[in-house]
Order: sequence, then C-alpha cells, then structure tokens
Amino acid sequence: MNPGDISPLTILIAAIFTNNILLSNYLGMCSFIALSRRLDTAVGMGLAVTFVSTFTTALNWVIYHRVLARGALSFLPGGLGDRIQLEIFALIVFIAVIAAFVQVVEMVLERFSPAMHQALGLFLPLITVNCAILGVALFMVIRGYGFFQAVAYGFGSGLGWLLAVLLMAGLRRRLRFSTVPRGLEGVGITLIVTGIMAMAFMAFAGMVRIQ
Amino acid sequence: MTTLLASLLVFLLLMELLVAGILLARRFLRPRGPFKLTINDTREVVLDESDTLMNHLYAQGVFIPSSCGGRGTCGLCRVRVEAPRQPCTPVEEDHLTPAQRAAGFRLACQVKVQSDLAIRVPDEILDAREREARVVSNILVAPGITHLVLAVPEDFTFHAGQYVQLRIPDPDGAAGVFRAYSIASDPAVRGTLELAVKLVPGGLGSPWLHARRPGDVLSFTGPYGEWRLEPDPAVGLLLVGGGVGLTPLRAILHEAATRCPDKPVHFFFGARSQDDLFWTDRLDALAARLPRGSATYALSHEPEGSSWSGARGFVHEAVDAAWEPEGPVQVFLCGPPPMIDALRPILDERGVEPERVFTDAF
Repeated sequence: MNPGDISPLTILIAAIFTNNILLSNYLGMCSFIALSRRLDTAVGMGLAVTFVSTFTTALNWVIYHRVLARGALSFLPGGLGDRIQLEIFALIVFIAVIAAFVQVVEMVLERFSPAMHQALGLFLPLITVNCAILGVALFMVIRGYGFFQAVAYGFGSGLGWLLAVLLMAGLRRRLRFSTVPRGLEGVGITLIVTGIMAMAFMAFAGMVRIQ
Repeated sequence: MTTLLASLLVFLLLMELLVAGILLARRFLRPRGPFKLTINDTREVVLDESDTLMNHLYAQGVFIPSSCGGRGTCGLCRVRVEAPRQPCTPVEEDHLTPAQRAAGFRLACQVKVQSDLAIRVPDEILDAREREARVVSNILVAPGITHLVLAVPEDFTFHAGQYVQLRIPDPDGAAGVFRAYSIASDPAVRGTLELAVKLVPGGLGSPWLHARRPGDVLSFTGPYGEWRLEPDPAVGLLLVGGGVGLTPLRAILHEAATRCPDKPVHFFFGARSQDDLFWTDRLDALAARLPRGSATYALSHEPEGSSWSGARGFVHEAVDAAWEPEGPVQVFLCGPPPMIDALRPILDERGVEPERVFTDAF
C-alpha cells in the first residue's frame, strides 16, 4: 500500500498501539524512566509530549516540504532552487525548530497561564531533548506522510507515549511494594518491565499496519 | 560551489528566523517590571526586571545562604513567600517538608519575581553583611584538603557548627558566586576563622581557594546555620565526621570543652587511610579536656599490616561497635550521604530521637 493512501485515523490508532514510539522504537526512554516514578509527573510529561509532538510535527512538516525538500525552492531564479540541497540539514533544523517551539510555548504559558506553567514548567525544557519528538519528525519524512497524516502521527505518538508512561507509572507503584532482586532496583527492573510491556503490545500488531 | 553556498545561506537564514522568533516572543511575552519586593515588612525595594528571587536578594545585599549557586540542589536558600502564595516546583519538593510547604516556604533560587512579592527571611540573615578576610595561612593537611586560616574583623561572632559563604570570582560573571564552608575554629576566639577545604577537581570554589596565598584578601558572608550545641551537661554528645566533614565538629568540640566539659562526648572521625587523617593532635588535645570524652579514628582503606593500631573499617561500623548512649543525647553527623544513611538505623536501634540528630550531607 502506498503510504500516501493511509487514512490519518489509521495512522493515529497505529501510532498509539501497534507502532508506539516508545515500545516499538524505544525512543524517549530517558524521560520515560525518570518521570514514570510518580503518576502526577507522568501525566504532566505525557501531556507536554503530546502537545509538543503534535505541533512540532506540523511545523517540521511545513518547513521540510516547503524549504528543505528537493525542489521546494524551485521558484528561485536561475535554476538555483533546483541545485540547492538542504535535506542533509533536516536533523539540525528539526532539533532547532523543536527547541525554539518549546521556548516560545514556555513563555506563552508563563505569561497567560501561570498555573499550567507551574504544572508543566519543569517538563517543557526536558522535551527539547526528548528523542521521541525528533524521532517522530524523522519518521514522518522517511515514510513520506502528507500533512494531515504527519499531524495524526505526531498526535498519536504523543498519546502513545502518554499511555506507555502512565502504564509504567502504575506498574512502578506496585513495584515499590515488591521485592526486587538486588542490583535490579530502579532503572534495571523498569527496563525489564518495559520490555515485557513492549511484548504485550505486540498483541495489537495485526490490528493496523502503517509501514 | 554555488550549490554549497546557497544551501548554507538558506540554512542560516532559517536558523536566524528561529532565533528572531524567540527574541520577538521574549520581547512581548516576558513580564516586565517594576515589581515591588517587600522583605520582612520593613524593607521595600523596587525591581526593574524579572529574575530569580535569589539574584535580586543578593543584588540588594541580603545574603541568604546557598551553596549550589542557584541550581536548586542544596536547599539552603529557604525563604517564606507571604504573598502571593504559589505552589512549589518539583525541584523544591525534595528540599521542603510538607509543613514548610504549607507555611509558604520556597527556595529563593527557584522563585521567579514576576509580580509584587512579600517575603520573610530570618532577621539574622537580614543583618548578615559581607566582610573582608585576609589569608593568614593555607597549608595542605591531607591529600586534597587544605587548612585555610583567615584573619577576620573582631566583631564577627558565630556559634559552633555554623558556616560562612566565601565569594569566589566567577570567570563568566563580575559578581562571583558563593560557596559554603563550615567553620572549624573555636567560637570563643575572635578575629580568626579556620576552614578546611577539600579540592574538587574541576570545581569553581575549591581550586581557587587552594591557590590562595598568605596576604590575599577575600570576602565572605555569614554566619549561617541552625546547629546549636545543647549546653545541658546531662545531654550527651555524639559527633561523627567523614573526611572533610570533620570541620564543623571540631568547632563543636571546642565549644563543648569550653562551656560544658562535663558532658559525655564521643567523637568519631572516619577517613580512608592514615595519610587522610588530619588535625588529630588538636582533636586529641580537645578530647583530653573532656573528662568523659573519647576520640576514635576509623580507617576504611588502610593497608593490611600497617603501623595503624586504631579502628579499621567504615566509621559507622566503629560507632556501631563502640557507642552506647548514656541517657539523652544530641547527635551531629557530617560527611558523605552514604555515611549518614548507614548511621541512621544504628541510631534508631539505640533509641535516639530523630529530632536530636543534626545532619549535613555533602
């Protein structure tokens, strides 16, 4: 099936369940482990990731396809636009766009919703270096998504990350009361549980297919 | 060639646009002053720009304690924000008890001044001034630990267990940063401060302090800290120091020997090997002035078969083996966090009340 034909809704569902960015690509691990310790921080970070991933994916899609992609600048005179090659800069540009977006969002929140800023304030800067967000932008290019597909993918990946981190926060609450072998406490057991969770999510694999 | 240049140009243009976007947003979105800051209902200052409360207080000459340079890791810069009440950030939650949070305490380095603010700090901090000190001597007493003796103004007084903050020049900023060091010298001796400074390679404060020579002048604020020796001779005293954590305990020994020599005092000092022990002659002399006092040195990494005849193993093991409380007791622990964590169950087991245990982990 041509990737351009998949409906955005399918991509959204797939990004949450079958192609969960965290459980199938193991991206966004560091903040996942650090913030799944408590349920409230997990919710805060999950919402922040969803928000940022949705909007930066849209922004990055526009910048990639209107500026960076081959031939996007062909309106420039003298055939210059066709010779310019910017695809190699995609990685750096994506990171910069994400960082700038997060900065601006932080300032907007600080100004207009101090309560929200208090709740998400700590998580927003962390997102700048969250590889899940960058991963979404890069996958969107590799898979050749259209704009709405990309936005659905970004939103779905954010929700998928939120789902995974919420599940893990719930599991870790139980882990606190169980006897974990010495040396596996904390990060070790979390990684093992994440692996088992990823296998459990493979049960969704037949549901939809996007790649 | 044109391909390369044109591509780079477009790329740079894109980056400039992003930066311009951020600057524009900052220009229009950042709250701007003036804000009114009220300190203890008595001092009112007008601030022109938004910054952290800590930076504003330092600029106003209010020297609240802080040893981490505003990163939110030391938890010393507690102030009470009376109005407006704001919730704590997660960084602060680790350093404030629920009762403190309910009372409005915040860490000044984490509070951004974005509106009028009324705060309360202890009066002694409002009185703390920045003073000048001259280096009298600066001698290595153990590997990486220097004994820094400072001549200070005669009107500077402190309690045993308190600390001062030294101003360290910051290569990036004109104002410099502050680093906290416990006072080791006798509180009864005016005009002299003794500190022990452990070298932290790559650190900002300790390498600079290690390089000071006699005659150099530096400035400090303080004293800070709520450690107070219980003067009642019936209350025993347990002091456990690891490495350079010995520093405030020496001052407490001085004060105990002067003010309440009848106290049962047990002093334990943990180090790696004989080379790492320092000030033992002074400590022994102090212990000798306390008829019910003892000093124990425990070495954790002393080579087998060496000339050492004292205790071996970690200092908490020495405490566990040799110490029993004789009635009520006040405990001061100063050293690396694992040492303090290892000592807590030992103290619990012997029925020491947690509110009588004072700790400083670094």
